[in-house]
Amino acid sequence: MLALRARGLAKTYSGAFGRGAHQALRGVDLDVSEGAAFGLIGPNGAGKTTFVKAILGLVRPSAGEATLLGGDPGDPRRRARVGYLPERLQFAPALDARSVLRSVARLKRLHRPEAAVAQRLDELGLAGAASRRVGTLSKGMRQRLGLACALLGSPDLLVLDEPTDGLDPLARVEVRNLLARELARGATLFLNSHLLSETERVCTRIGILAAGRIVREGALESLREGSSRWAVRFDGGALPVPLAAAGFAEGERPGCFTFEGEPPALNAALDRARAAGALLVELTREAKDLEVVLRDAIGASP
Amino acid sequence: MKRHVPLLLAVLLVGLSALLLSVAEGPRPASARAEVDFPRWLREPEAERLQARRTLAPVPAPAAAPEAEEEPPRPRDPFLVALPRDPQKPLVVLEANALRHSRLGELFVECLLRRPGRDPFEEARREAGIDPLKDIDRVAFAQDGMILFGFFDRAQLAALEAESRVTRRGEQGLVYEPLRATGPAMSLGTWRRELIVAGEPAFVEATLDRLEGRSAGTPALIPERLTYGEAYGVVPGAALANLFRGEQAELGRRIASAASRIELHADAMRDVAVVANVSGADERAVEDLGTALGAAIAVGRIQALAGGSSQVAELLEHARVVRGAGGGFSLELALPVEVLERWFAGCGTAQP
Amino acid sequence: MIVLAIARDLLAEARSRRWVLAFLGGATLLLAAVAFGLRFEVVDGALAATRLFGGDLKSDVRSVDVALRPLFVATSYLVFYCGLVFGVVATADFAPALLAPGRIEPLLALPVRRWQVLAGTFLGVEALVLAAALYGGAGVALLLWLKTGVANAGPLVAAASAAVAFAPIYAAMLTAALGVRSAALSGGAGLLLLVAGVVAGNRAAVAELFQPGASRSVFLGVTSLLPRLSALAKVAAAASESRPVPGGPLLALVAGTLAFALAVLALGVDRFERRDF
Repeated sequence: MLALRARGLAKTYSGAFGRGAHQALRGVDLDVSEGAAFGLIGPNGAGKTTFVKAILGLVRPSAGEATLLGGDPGDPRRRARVGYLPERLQFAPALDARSVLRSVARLKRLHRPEAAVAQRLDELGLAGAASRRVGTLSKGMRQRLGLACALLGSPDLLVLDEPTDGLDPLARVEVRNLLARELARGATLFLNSHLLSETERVCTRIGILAAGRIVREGALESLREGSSRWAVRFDGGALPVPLAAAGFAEGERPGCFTFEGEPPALNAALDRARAAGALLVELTREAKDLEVVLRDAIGASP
Repeated sequence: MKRHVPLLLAVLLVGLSALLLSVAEGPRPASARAEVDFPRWLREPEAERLQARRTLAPVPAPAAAPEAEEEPPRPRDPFLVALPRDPQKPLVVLEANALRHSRLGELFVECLLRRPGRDPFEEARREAGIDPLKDIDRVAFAQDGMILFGFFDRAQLAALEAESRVTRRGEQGLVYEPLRATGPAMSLGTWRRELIVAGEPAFVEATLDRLEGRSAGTPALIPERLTYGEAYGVVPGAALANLFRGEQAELGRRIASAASRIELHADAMRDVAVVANVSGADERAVEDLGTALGAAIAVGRIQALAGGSSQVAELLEHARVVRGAGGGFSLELALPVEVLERWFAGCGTAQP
Repeated sequence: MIVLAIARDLLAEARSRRWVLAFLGGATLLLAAVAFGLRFEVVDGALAATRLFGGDLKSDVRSVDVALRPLFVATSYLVFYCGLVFGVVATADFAPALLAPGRIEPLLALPVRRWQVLAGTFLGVEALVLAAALYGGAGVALLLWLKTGVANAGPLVAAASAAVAFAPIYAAMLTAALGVRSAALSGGAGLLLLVAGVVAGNRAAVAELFQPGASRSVFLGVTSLLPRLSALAKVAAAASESRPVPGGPLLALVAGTLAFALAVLALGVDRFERRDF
């Protein structure tokens, strides 16, 4: 079953007095299966946040349709199974952290709200600050509070926009572990993040949105395939100069080199290296990192 | 269609709201009732009235008096000149002509005329040639007699002359003493065809003497500046003491001892509004008296409400004591015209 | 239940705001100061003297309940209009704060309907204003009762009237905030409707200022749609004077005022449903 489905989703924001209209989404087709960890990446202004809001019913599409957990995004019963963390997060500054969570728990009509609140406060390291006014919390702690609100009630679908924004590296690790636990219990994750390294670590499927369209989409592994970069290791006696002449660039460790090129060029280079007396010990094709994937996808998109 | 439901609902609710609010408004209300106007000072119509009444030639100033050069003596109101001047005795004046045309007067006359039996006004016309409703302008009630001022050209005095000894008093005064006295000595006096005075012989003679300048120049008890309202007068506190009986007797004694002078003024053209300005030698005693009167009014109102005397309660609801700047106080009583009309609906028979 | 939950959250937020506590503290201090300094000397049921902090307030000597009527009437008007102005000023930023980016999106992503968010906010603010007005009105009524022995429900009726009158005012404020997210604009819309409601309540008298003809007809037509807010103030004044108020017209007045509030709220719901966040 699909957790999210978009068909021909389009959104145009009309400007003042009908002028300066901006087309944020231009017909997006996307499926996210239940239990998947999906990451949406793209350059600034690509329409990522608009897409997220459209699937949650916060923004009305100009064309196309979207379903959320098999139903209308406007249906409260669907949204009851969703946990959302927006990119820009604000709370009533006069309330304390526990009151904020209680309020969300009430609105989600949780069965045992106090227990749920206590659990999430603990999990996100907010137990000691539960009675403090939100206005006195640091950005990182407010971000944790936002996460706690999204995770309350163990929703079936987590839609997180920049979940590690403002968090220190150790906290990011904790959040990654938390998300891994949520995935393990069967939740679907839809992640929107500028931190490609975080997205790579958490998500198994990636969608690239550029200029309001999905330009590439698929499993992370398949997106990273097709790299033309090779890691080569020669024995310790190989000389760098003849190897450089053969087309190999020196790597970080002794004896390790890299080669950029397709297999025919690689073989020709290996022949030149062996002719120079080098002994090939190891040959590995390197996977593309997401930044490269993104760059290639945007460069290739019309 | 579903998207337009809130908008349609808004339109329907605005219509419903307008309908309900117009129902709540009801018919346009009549203009608000004016507040009771209390007689507190001489008003312009009254000032014009007293100017018109100065028909008596002024008393010439002595030749050697230097004041004669500053302010020439002016004509006087003969009625005011005739009034007694003893501050120890009460004196009340009714502006009969004005009262006749007031709402209270109309109700009173209608009530009298509705009663079965003789028409009292017709009797007076027939026997004395005086129409009480037209010929009498003002009436003064003093302790020793009464003075009528008006137009008595048609007064029929022949029968009176036949039963009296008529003597001239001064240039234009006549005194009628009954030939056969039954009861206390009473006389009647006339001056021109304008004034009739009745009462004790000394009172009658003194009145005629004042009119013609033969009495000592004691200050008037009611100077011109106090002739406002449809009724006015000056009463010493002691004179009112007898009106307070029973539980209120102590209040009457306090009035008698503290209030040396009580000026009364009453308006009756529409609402009946009475102001009594109380003053005395001992400021503190007068102030305490004001407080005590206020308390008595409050108690009286509560007792009237408890006893079902709604008319008295209504009267006392509009009563209050107003502190004056110079140590005295004013007691103000009012009876709105609606209440008057309600009272007289039974021809004034509903008594508190 | 969702509506009540949202209303409850709003009240919790209001309670947490320090200035609300400061207002309550200030109002209490003021009442306490007046209670300490104001003395009525009642002699045999008559108000003999009124003193404020030792200074004699020249007053007439008459039955205390009659003498105090103008005071109760003035107090009821004060509670009514001050309650409304307080409501406008104090609540002008609730809706704009709720609609702030970063706050409204997670709220609308919860299992709530947009009209429930609006209704809950409206109810919460109404409850806040009613509580504040009742606090002031009850305080004044209690103070005067303790001082004079005269119990008068006028200030309490004024508080209830103010809550009814505030309904269309806040509905307008809420709808204005949905158009432009600004506390100043929201407050301005509230004050505008307050003034318009006072004029509408006296429309018969104000119409006399217009030349008979088109202008007067237009004025009467426009004001016929507006809530008669000053009429609600007069109901409280009548209660202070122990004058009877006809039940039918009163019910129609209250129902009409609330219907207007609902109409404006419906307009707000329509705007809210169409808006992107």
